[in-house]
Amino acid sequence: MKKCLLLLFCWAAAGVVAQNKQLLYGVDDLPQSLLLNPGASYNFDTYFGIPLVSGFSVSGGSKGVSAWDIFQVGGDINGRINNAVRRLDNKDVFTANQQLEILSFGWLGRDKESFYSGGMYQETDVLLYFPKDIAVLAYDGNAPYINRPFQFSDISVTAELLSVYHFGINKKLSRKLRLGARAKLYMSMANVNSTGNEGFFRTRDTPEGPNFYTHEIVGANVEANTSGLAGIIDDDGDISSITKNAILSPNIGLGIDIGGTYNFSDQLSVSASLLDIGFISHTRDVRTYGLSGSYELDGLELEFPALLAGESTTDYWDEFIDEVEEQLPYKDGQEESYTTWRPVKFNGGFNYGFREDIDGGCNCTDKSGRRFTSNVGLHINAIKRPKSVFTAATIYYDRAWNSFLRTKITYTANAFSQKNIGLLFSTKIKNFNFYLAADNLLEYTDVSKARELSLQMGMQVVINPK
Amino acid sequence: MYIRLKYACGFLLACLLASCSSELDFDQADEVVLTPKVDANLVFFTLGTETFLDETIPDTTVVVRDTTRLEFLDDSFVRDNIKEIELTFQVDNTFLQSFTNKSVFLNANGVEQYVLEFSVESSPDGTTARTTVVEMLDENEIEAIRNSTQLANELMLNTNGSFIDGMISLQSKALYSLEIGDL
Repeated sequence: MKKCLLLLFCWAAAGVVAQNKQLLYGVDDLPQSLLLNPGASYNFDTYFGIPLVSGFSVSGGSKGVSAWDIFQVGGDINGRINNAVRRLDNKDVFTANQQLEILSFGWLGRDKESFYSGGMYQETDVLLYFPKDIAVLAYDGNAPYINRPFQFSDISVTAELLSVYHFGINKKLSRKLRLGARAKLYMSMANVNSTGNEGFFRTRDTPEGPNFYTHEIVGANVEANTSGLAGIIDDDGDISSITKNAILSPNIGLGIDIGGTYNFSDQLSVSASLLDIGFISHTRDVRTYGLSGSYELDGLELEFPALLAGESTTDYWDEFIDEVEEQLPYKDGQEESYTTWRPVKFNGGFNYGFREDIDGGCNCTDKSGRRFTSNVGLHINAIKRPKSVFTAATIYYDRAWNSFLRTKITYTANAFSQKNIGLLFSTKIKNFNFYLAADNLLEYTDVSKARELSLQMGMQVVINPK
Repeated sequence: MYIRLKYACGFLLACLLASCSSELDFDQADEVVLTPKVDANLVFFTLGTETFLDETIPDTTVVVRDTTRLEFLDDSFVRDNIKEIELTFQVDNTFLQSFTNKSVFLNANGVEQYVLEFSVESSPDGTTARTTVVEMLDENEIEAIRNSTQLANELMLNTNGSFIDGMISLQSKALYSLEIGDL
């Protein structure tokens, strides 16, 4: 247990834009680009994924601290943890995301201007803000921090395991404009959600008060919801209910992706998409834990009843417990329905193609113009998270070397990292496509010190336009 | 061109396949210890002259006593992790007489486990006289506190038969130093 907590702690830190798939965005040879922008340009007639291996991505990271920072051999681990607790703040975040395509397919419509795609994928998405105030309170106690409020809002965590059925349409509206939309049906397998917490705990110095301090909980509104976890909570770790929910879950949601591409000219285009505009309604196998209200405690006041005069004794402890329960009502596993919103993602791209045309100068599928062997551009990614919006900007150089190999190199910067270099290569042998992409290549020199990594790979059958 | 291509692919594969990791020692997790210091109020009271006028048993000494349960002391988490306890009492007295304060920690059966007794200064002229007592407990005394679930506070007013008038208030707190190694 301790190891698990510490490993989690190691990841707890800042500013990672997990799910930013800048290496795949806009690569028109890869069907996965349609999952990032349903209105993207594409260069295939038909595709179908090889079940379970057509697409896999995993990403996660931290900035403030790495596994090596805590678990390096020698020295004092408690000192290193102490340093990390001081260094991290409540905006530092641990994030991990994993997607596995179970089924994927797509085909060009008879009108040659519409492309239909669909499938099913499984996703795990975890986001945990470093609970700075709670960690400091646990590590140091309240004694060094008299009069300092410890904010409950620092507790912010979401974890979702779900499967997603999706179907999208990509439609060319004119020579310049292409739009797309994708409908999604979410099947939540398991969910933990505790966000939007409020209130604080404080020990206040009271020189004019009846005792040394007033211990106070002010405006508490702390709640954690779970769904799909009854088997684990109630039945000692039975996870069978989670796996059953993968195909058909009682906790379902709806969502939509929208996107488009506008070609200013054959060489210049802009694109944008909004993904996962949707929600999941959790109504079955749900549990709610929480605490709300305000309470002040000066200690237990003794009244010294005049027993000889017939006054009765007072049960101060029971009175105290009753007061706490009345003023700080708590929920201990009540079955309450709740709704979670999917993290909305924005992608925006600006692409400029140059050098000689691929395929003799004609993009025969979408007829939107010529295709070039080289592309440079800018990609912006943003993800809405409980406390903030994570943003990242990428510049890239994308090169099709020949009919079977394409590479893309990216440099990505966000508020927390300015040395993220990524590389994609996609190879095609006859109709069989394989791609491999990795971020933060500089971090691979020593994985134990890595604070952010992501990897995407997959293989599928892609039939190109003749 | 193909040389550059070869380098690009080779670089990615080299990064992924030949990446290395410094040696890590996850067994150090067993050495992790949290050492919070928790400062918490205990009991308090303010008593006026009337409290001592009601109690008329001895001629020259008035004794008042009250007891409360402190069940958190019996909590297994507290029992297992307390390493140090520092008790602080502060008494403000405007009586012209001195007091003796006795704070007694009792187990569930009412048997004394630990007693802290101290004198409270008398006021020279009706103004507030403050007495502060800070007591750092030794290992045996901490063990006695671990066995306690109640706190009784006893005040003895030494009247010497003279007129009494004033106010006495007591504040108390405990500073617990914990050592939490079993997360």
